[in-house]
Amino acid sequence: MKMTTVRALISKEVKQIRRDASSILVAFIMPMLVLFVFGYGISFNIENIKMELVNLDSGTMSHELTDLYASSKYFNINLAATTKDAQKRVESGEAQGIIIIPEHFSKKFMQGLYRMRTNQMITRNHPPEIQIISDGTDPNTASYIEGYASGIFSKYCASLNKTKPQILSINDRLWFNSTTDTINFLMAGALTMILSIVGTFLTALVVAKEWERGTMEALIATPVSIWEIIISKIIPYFVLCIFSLIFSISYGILVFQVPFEGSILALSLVTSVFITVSILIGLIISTTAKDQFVASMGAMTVTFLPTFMLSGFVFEIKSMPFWLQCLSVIFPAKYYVSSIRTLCLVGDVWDIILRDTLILSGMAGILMFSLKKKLKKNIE
Amino acid sequence: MISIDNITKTFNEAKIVALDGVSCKIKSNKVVGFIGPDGSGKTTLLRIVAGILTPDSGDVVINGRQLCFSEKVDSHEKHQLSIAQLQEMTSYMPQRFGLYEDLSIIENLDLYANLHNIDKTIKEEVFTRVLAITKLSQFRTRLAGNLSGGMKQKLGLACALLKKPKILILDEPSVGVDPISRKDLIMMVNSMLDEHTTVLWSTAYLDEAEELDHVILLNEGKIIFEGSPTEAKRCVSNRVYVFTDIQEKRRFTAELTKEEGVMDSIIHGNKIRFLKKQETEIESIHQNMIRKFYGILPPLGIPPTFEDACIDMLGGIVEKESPLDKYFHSTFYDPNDDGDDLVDAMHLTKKFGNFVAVDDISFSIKRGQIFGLLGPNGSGKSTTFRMLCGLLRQTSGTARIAGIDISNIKSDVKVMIGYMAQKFSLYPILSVRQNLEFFSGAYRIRGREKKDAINQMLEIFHLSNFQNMNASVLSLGYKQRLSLACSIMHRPRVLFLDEPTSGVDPITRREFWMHINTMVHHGMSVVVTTHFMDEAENCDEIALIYKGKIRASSTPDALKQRCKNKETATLEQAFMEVIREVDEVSP
Repeated sequence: MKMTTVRALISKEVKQIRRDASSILVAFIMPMLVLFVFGYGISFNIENIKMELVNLDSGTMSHELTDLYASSKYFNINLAATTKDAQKRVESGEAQGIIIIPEHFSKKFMQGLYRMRTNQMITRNHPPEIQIISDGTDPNTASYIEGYASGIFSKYCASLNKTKPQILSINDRLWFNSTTDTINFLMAGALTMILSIVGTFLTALVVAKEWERGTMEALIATPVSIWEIIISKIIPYFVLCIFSLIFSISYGILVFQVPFEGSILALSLVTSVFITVSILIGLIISTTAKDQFVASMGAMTVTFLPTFMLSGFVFEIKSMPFWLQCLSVIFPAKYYVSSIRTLCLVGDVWDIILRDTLILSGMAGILMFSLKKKLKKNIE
Repeated sequence: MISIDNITKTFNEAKIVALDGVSCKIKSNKVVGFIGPDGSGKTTLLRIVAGILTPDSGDVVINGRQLCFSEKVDSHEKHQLSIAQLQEMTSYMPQRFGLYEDLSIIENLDLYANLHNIDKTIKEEVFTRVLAITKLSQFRTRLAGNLSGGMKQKLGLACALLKKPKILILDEPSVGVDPISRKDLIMMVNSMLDEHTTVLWSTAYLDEAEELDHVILLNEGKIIFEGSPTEAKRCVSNRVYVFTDIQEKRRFTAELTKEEGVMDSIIHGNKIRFLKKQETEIESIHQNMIRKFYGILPPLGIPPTFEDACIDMLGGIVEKESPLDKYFHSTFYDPNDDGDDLVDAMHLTKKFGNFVAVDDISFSIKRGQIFGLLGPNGSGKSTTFRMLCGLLRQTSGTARIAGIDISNIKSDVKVMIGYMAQKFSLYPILSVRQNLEFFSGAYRIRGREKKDAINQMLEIFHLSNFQNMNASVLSLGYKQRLSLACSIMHRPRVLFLDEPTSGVDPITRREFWMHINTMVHHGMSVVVTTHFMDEAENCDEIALIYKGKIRASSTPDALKQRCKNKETATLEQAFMEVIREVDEVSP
């Protein structure tokens, strides 16, 4: 490998990147948009869910509870006269669930409180209860409804109990985070997505472009070696990815106050391996496709979708069918998401970081080997 | 010496045999021309010699060392040559010049200098020399993408010539380049190389090949001739004649072509040039023609060109008569009606920002005439052409077809024109029939008429056997026929041809012009741009556009009169003369 050749090729690549507005766009503007969307647009704490509330009780407590639901920011409450009315509105899609406060709710509640105050046990047959019905067609929202509604109920019970806190202890199990936590959780996934797009997408285009324009034909007829071509493609895009990452992390920390608990050392270690893997995937796609359109579709299919679906970024891998779990193992994004999430939220857990780095290194090795086999100094 | 031994190459995806047992010997320190139509295997052969394509079988031996295409080779073996060693001694310029369009001229040169390991100390000196020869010195920092076609080719060649290679491989460096830049390219190769370089030069221009010492003619993956052009011309000596002072040249050439003993006939200004069969007596041809055209003079013998030889080797024209005659016979044209001008360009001007691409151009074309737009790359001829057929909106001025403004989108003016683009604008994944159906719909032919037109086109252009094949798998000659069929099936009054025959073999080109001449005979007007001078000879009038203005406009014969050697002048010389005059006044 000659240094002059590599240097000449790298400087060519850098000039091309600097003159091509689209690579700057992908490396810096796209991450901003992705983080912006995840920061503000996608919030997994859903608010203003349309709910029906049917109050069949006439006691004061049911009214207090109704007020509490109505004032909640999670719900947009419509008071329905009968259960049937409410049901109809759910069926027509106007509401996503029903909260039913049954008859004699206040009475039972008072009895319960009385018993508690007099140290009697609440009988199993008569606990004060409300019914929550939610539209199961959107399971995600349904589970939020269940969580929020029962959370509010629990809080109400607790507040009544405050006067005599020792009598009834209600365990507050509101296990949905407050709004600010979503971006913390998603940051890892967003960074992974950004890096795989910058790494894979840009490099997938770059070799295909050379084939399309015929420059690759001229290049391979000169005395350059395959390694010189590969190295000179990896280095500039590696540096570009690093810049893009620094930019994205700073943006996330400054704008969204995302925590970062880990060390720079651990971050650089796992990141550099992941970037290498991304770039190699891009180069392999590019050498296979030799056509910018096909290459870009290919890059989207192997990076964007698996990163979004199968990396544990949005959907929990453990709750997927077994065969899908097996499939997720081969996508590098999974390991990077796990490492970055750990680094952001927990800190340097070396067990996880080293394991992921090792797996990614193995992938890089395999990819490098297959790229060397694929990229020949041959026009076919 | 490069010895090519029984090379075969098949491309699996298209099931095309690109090279079929090709063997030849190329002597050292010579310029060898590879000629042949597109798809004849030129590019494949050159790529194999450049070491970037592996043949299925056969050997390449360079100076006694066998080229090893496998990467694992012991380069110390004396009788073997590795790809790396080959590439140290060769320079290769691919057909689509391998320039980085987003790098400047000097950055491109610098990159290739480094790739070819040119010593740092002499780099600057080499660049200065190269830029001086290519006349690109003043554009050092201009991006390669912003250069004209001719300049790009010069820069591409300059990159290949930076080191003095032992073997220089040039794949159609002159394709789509005007005659002046073409001469520059040849001059560059001659001036920058010494006698220790072997040059493999492929070209579609037969006049260019004629200048070389040794040519190899390929057709359908086989070598059909190898030797010097002089040697090739010997076979056709005393077989090329001209009829002079012909009035009805189109009808005359059509009749002459029908003659049994005529292998080829073309219009050459006011003359008709033809090639006769070896065994046919010239006197019998003259007698036959006198019967049809009273009082014509006996034909004069003239020296043959290499193109005549190639036509002879390819077997001459097969189709003696254009069936389009019948298709256009019953159309609205009345041959006796002189009528008004069919095409009128009045003060056409086109500006791109501050740059005036076309500056106040006016001309008119009569019915039944062929009008040629000639000019170097970047002169403004394509812009003029596009404004005429309504593809580009002019900044000022008007273009009229049969009296109707072409920019009037409400009128049916677009149905009156046919357009055949340079790169055949067919839909590659539609079948031949589907392409015809689409274009007939686009030109508003409907119902029974449509079915009729399609069937006739399939028959006339011999496309019936391929009608269900995708257009992409047709050979270039058939693609060109289909393309022509699509643009004329609606019987347009004006036909626009943008470099219609580049890359096509001479026989197909003859047939193409036979069709055009037939339609023109029936009253169609044709506007054509071309870099082939023999095609320009076919025109009734030529406008030479240079630097955005018409610099000369008259018949081919009158143009030639401008040159000093009036009798022997070629159109190409006239062309250069005009450009020289313009450059002297305003360099």
